[in-house]
Amino acid sequence: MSAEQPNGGHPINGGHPTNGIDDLVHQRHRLGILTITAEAQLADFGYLQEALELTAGNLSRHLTVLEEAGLVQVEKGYEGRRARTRVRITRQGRTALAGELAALTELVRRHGALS
Amino acid sequence: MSSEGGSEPGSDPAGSGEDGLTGGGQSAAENGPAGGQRAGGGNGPAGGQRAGGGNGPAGGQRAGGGNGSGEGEEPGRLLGELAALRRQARSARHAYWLPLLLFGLLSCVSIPFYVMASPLTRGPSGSRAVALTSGPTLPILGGAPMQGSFFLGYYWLIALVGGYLLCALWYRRHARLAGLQTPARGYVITGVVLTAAALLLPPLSQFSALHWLSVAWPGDLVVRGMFPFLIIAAGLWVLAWAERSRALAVTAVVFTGAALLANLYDVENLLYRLGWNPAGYNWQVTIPNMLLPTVVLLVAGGAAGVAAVAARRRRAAGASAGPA
Repeated sequence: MSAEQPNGGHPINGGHPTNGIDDLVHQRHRLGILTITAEAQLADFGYLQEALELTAGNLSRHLTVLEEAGLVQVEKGYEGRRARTRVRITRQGRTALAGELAALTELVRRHGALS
Repeated sequence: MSSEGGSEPGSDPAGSGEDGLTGGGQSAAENGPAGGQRAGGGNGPAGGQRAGGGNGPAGGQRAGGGNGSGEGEEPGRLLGELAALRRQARSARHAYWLPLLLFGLLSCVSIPFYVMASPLTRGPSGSRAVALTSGPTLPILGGAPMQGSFFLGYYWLIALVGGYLLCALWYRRHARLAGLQTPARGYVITGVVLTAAALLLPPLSQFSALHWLSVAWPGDLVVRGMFPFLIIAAGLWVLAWAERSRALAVTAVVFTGAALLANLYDVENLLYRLGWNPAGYNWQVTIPNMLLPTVVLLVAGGAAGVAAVAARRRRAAGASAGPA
C-alpha cells in the first residue's frame, strides 16, 4: 500500500487485516500523535512531546510527515513572546486512525481465534 | 521523558537520525519502515523498547508477517498503549468540574431572589395562572410567578450569560495549562443562545406575525420559575459530548431529571410526606424545587473536582518518577 495514501478507513479490504494497515499511520509514534489529537480539538506540541517521550526534533519530523499526508494541521503562533505550536487532526486523519485501529483490532481478534 | 529541551518544532529541522526515545540505540534494521524511511528519524516503538523489544509493529515483526505468536501480541500491545494514551489525554483534558460548581453556586446565590418572590399566582379555580406576557419580569427566565419580584429573571439573565462566558474563559485557560483543548465553544453557544431565546421569545411573541412563537414555551415549564435549570441541563448535554465523559453524561441525565421535576412538580409535596411542613412561608413552593437541581450540580461538581485533583496528582507523580 502506498505510504502517501492513507487507507481511508478500509482496513480489511476483504483479505488479511494487514492489507488495511497503512505504513504511514502505523508507525507507533505517528499513531500516538493521531490518537492524542483525536481526543482534543487542539494538542500542544509540548503535550505531545511529553506524552510520547520524543525529542522536539523527532516529533517535528513525525508531524511533518503527517501534515504532508493531510492527516494533521500544524498551527504555529505566539502567546506573548513565547512560540506556541498546536496540532489539529483532520477529517482524513480521523478516518485513517479509525481504519488503522480497525485493522489492529481485527488482527488481535484473529490471533485470539487461532490460539 | 526523553525530550532534549522544550524547543518548538523547527528548532531541530535537520534531525540527527537518532531515535530520541528512552530506550534509544536501535539499528536501522530494527526500525519500522515508516519511521526509518519517511520520517528519516529512525524511530522505533516506544512501547517495544520499554518492553525490551526492539521492533515496532511496522518493523521486523510486521503484523501478519507469518509469526503466529507475534501477530497478535504486537497489535494487542499497541492497542493497549493507544488506549492508555487516549485515557491519559482525556483525563488531562477534562475540566467540567468548574462549570458544574459554578452553576451550582450561581443557583445558591439565587436563593434570596426565590425567597423574595411571592407565592405562585393562583387562578380563580385555584390553578396556577402563568403570566405569559412580555414585561419586565422576564417570564421564561424565572420571572413568571414572581409578581412581587422581577429581579429573579434579571438575575438569571446575568448569571447564565456571565456563567457561560466564565466557562469559555475557563476552558481557554485550562487548554493553555493542560496542553489539550476541549471543544467547549458549542457548550457556551448553546447556553447563550438558549438564554437569549428565553429572553426574546416573550416580547417577540407579542407581535401578531410572531404570535405562534408563544407555543414554543409551554406554561408548565415556566410556571415555577425553574426554567433556567433546563437551560443549564441542555448545556450539560452538549458539554458531556464535547468532554466525551460518561460521568458527565450521567450527571446530565440526573440533572435533567431533577430540573424537569423542579419545573413540573412541587417538591414540597414530597417533603410534606416526609414530615416537613413549613406552612406559612412563601418560599415553601420555590426553595425546595430550586434546591433539588442545585444539590445535583454541587455534588457532581465537587466529586468531579476531587477526581480532577487526584488525576493531576497521579500525573505529577508519574512525571516525577520518570519513564519506566
